[in-house]
Amino acid sequence: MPVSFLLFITTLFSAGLTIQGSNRAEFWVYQKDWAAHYEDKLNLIARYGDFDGELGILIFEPSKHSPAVRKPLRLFDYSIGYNMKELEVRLGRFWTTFGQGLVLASYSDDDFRHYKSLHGLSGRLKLPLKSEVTLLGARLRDVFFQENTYKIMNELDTADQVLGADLTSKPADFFGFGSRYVRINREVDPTAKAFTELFGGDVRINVGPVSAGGEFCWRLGTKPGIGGREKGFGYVLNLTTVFPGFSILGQFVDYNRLGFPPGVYHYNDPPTPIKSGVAINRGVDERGFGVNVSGMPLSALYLELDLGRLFVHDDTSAGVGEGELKGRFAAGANWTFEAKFNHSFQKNIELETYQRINERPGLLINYCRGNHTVALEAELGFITEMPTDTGHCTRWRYHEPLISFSYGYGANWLWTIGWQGVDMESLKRYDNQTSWPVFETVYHINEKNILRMRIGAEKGGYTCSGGVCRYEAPFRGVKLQLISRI
Amino acid sequence: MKITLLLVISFWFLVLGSGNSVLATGNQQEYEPAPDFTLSDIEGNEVTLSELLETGPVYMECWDLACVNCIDELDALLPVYDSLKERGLQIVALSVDKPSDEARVRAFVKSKKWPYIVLLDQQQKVKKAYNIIIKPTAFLINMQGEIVYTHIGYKKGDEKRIADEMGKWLPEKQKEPEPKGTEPGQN
Repeated sequence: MPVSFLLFITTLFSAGLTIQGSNRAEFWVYQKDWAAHYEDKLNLIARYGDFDGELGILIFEPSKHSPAVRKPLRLFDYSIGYNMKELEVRLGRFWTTFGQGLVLASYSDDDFRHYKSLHGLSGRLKLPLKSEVTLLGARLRDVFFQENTYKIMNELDTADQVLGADLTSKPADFFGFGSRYVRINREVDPTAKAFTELFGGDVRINVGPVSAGGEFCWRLGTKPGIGGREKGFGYVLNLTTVFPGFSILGQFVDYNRLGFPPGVYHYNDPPTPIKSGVAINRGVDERGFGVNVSGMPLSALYLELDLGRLFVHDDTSAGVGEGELKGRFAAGANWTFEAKFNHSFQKNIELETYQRINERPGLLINYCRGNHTVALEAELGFITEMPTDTGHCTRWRYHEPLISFSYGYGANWLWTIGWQGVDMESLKRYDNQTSWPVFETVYHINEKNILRMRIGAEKGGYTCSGGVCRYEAPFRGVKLQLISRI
Repeated sequence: MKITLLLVISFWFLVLGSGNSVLATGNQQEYEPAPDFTLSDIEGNEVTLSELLETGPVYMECWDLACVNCIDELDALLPVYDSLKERGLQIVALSVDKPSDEARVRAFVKSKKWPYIVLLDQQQKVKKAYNIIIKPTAFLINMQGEIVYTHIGYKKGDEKRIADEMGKWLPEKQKEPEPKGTEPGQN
């Protein structure tokens, strides 16, 4: 039926209509109780001249059998767009971020399975002097998958009205600026006139090898429940210097009461300066810096050093820090070697952990000859942990080894066998498990279809991306994934 | 029931997406069109795909800072680019990092000394237009604006297969005209 329908439409508008799309289907079976989970995410885009129409369907059937816990999800998204070189108009579901996201951030992150979209009307108009203005009126939806369930973060206030304007300009090669405004009327605010406004701006300067930029945001909101104005402020600074063969990047962030609504990740997304993407207080109230030095002293050698620290704004006893040194060497066309050492610590971040120090050396070797590709990866984590409930007197010392071996043949096949472990029992965050073997095969059926099968165990734990973190539950069983381009 | 539904859906998309980048086969192959776009590069200059295609075919790879395989592929394509750029090949490294990572992307690209055209797709316009769901995904676009080859994923050695595909769509290198010899008897 869908094929016939597509063929019919294609024939009808054969002069200029094109339809393209993608589909990702996943099917999981849990070893414990043979519970099944499946999901399918389909995107289709039809184009006709300057017009396009997008259709998105997400079918999500989680594994939990209890009707009280199990939350199946069906999303049906659409949008219609008109795109000319100087003007774009879109009605329906869309994604946009103003500046670096301090004022407004929405995006679709398939890797992290975080779909933060706007539904409404947006227009973008190009102006002289390399300027561009964006206007929008919409409602936000934040679909955030956590382990094998999902959460619509603002399920209770999807009737919030978001109005926004963004102006960016680059009148000279060495200078650019932007200014932006967002107003949000919340359905759940206590008084009819309650609303939140966010004002932002940024400046970018490029002079020779030096690039500098800064962005700020003011938030003027209403205190939930009691009324009255609530103020917040935040800024981000970047400085990049490029020398022959290497570059240095410094970033500094400072925000306080900027996240909106407080305590929940919503309309804006302040960035994190930490390379691993960790956020300690959901970007609401943080202060920290990051430094990155990278370069190629030899044509076959790449070196990178990262340092970063992030604290809760008014409490330096709670925070994270990390440092990583990485080197990659290519020996001819066949061999590559990569070595890294990562050191990180966290304090007063997780509820049951006062402090954790993690030192993790790792090695990756790749070899290729003819149709044969081999990769070996090894990593050993040295962990020192002080649990919160022992008065900081107890120290746990344990190791987390990882090893994996991959073999690829030709263009179509890749097999991987791996193992992760921990030599300490009764760690709650790993569900008291100590060993996670896994086997994975990836088969490129053809240019447009990839089938992936994973059998074994996944360790789970916290995973972060761009300042958003979530907990992934451990998994044991089989995962099948089919990715198709249409 | 659910499993059946999943299998049916997957089967149809397998059928729909089967084969290479060819839309229809017959006497003449027809390839899917590559949507045109304009994006800023890391220097802030606007780059339009259709204008690039006037110079030669484009190999466009979608990458981000967290994607190790994407970076490996772009590194591995350096000698391929060096050997084929004279035949008109252009490589576009399409960064789909979030706007908050722009400074990090710029510093990374500068230190890598990639000779590619690095474009910033911060609003994910091109990523959506090309239906990219995993990284790396790369497209070879011929001078007629058609996607003639799609490469999803990367493992070491794939660059040889990619180079072979590129070679099919690039004009042969024109032979340098032989320097004219001095006419006899001129001295």
